[in-house]
Amino acid sequence: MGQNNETAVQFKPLGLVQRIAFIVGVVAALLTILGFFIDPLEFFRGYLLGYVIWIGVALGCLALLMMHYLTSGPWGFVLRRFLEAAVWTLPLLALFFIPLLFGLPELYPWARPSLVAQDALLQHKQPYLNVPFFMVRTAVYLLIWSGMSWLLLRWSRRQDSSDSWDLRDKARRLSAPGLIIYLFTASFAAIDWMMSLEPRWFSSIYGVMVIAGQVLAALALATGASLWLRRTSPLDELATPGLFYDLGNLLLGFLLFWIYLTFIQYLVIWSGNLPEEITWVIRREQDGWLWVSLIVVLLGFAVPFALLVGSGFEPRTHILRIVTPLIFVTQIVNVYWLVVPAFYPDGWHIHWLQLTAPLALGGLWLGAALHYLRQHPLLPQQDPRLKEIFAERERSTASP
Amino acid sequence: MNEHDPELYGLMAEFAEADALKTAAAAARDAGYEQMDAYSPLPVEGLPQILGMHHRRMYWIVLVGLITGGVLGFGMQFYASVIDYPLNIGGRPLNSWPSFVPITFELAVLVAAFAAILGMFALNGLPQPYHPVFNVRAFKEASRECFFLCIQASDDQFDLEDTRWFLQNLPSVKGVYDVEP
Repeated sequence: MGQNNETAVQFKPLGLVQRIAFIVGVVAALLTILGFFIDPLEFFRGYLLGYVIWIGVALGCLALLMMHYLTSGPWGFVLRRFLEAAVWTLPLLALFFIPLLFGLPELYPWARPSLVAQDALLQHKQPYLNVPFFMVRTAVYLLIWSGMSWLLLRWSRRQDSSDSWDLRDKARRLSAPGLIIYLFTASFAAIDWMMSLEPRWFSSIYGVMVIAGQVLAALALATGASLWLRRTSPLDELATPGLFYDLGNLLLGFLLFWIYLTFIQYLVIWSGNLPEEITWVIRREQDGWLWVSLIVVLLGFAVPFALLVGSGFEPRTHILRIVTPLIFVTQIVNVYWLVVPAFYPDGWHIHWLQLTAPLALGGLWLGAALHYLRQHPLLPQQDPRLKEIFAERERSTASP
Repeated sequence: MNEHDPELYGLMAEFAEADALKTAAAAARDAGYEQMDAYSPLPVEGLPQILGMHHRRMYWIVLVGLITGGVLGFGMQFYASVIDYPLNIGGRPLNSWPSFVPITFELAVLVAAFAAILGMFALNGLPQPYHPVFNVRAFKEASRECFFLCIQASDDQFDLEDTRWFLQNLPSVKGVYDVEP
């Protein structure tokens, strides 16, 4: 991995950010471990929240990376290294799941035998919602994602010293079925890890809704990172305002897709008004949860949408500097809004472990991702498709 | 300098490539010409900026259409189900705003689209049965494969000899034509 060190990113703040991320991660991790001894129940809740936030970002990056291989547009090359850095953490995140295996009865009502014994509906769902099958499914998802991550990064690393089309074709051949596999595995993972926290409730749109949020958060993060480093060599050769304009449009598309799914779920449940469905909505409309819902809709959709739609070609780059962190942070709030109300049906409540656990996992995750990023040049310069893009661009700007 | 030829609408230069047209337009702008227009069979990114088309009037027209459509869409549903014919449907409130959203959205998009089409016609002056540029025989290629830059005689800097010389010396110019009014 170190053979590209001379061309790797020599951008000072990146090292500084990595150190800060690690320090924050380690300190928050120590506090979280302390929290486990104080209140194991809240520890597992906070840990699950942190886990689904960060694996969601990494999975969104995996989906975008595969979309990049399938579409081959220049926008993908601007994001490629940032996506790869996030995807590289997937095997690590797979290991991070282990603590959760010890908290299943604390987290999931269907894993508490005493509760299931009194509940005919949960007994009926036992063939799917039971501890051994849950563990097997989780292991399958994590293995599939880690495997795809390992293969894609292996080929990409080899591509750095070879400009043959073979490696790119291999990545494309994986990406086509890979995206379909991602859609199913990420959807089932969302159902298992998040939706089954409220096991009496169900929504058939849930998986896709979570996936749309994942990809949106990933796109916001990668675009923001690429915007931040756009003047760094070699990224500056490709990153033009035109490409960021395109990325803004892509962000707009995913923003609409995510809010569409979120709203349609709300509309269908609201119109049906059935007892087993409406409780999920009512829970999120009451007490403090209403404010969280409003933050997600207004700051997570309305404000970034208006800013992106109203920005022309030139101001788009500046607008993106505000919009990408805003979307990323509100998507984290969105995951919080999906997961945590399940734990506090009586009103809004936050426990300090719900801050430290996501910070711990996020700090360690970011530190690991930046480790990958710093080892590699910001553009896959040997990629034959990138060479083609540069050649096309040269032809069109050369004065005749 | 300022001797206009009343017999002429302007001078037109022909190019084979979009980038040659862009270079030419930039050169003409730098030379101080303002009354000019470019003709191309395909959209050329960056050309409107070179030609000084910075205005965003279309954005505002479409925005007004969007808001009108949205207010209209929501208002119709609100009027029908709350004011004109209140009806208890499954115990839901009369102002069932979540179920009004799809129609509100559809009407907002519909009116915005009409505003865009009508606004486009209003701003670009179409339909226009006669335009002097069509007097140039080669101009019929403008909708197929050739690119044209026309500097109009109404420009303060326009001078038949100087402007012709300027256009003829642009890089990769294929021809310079007089445009009869």
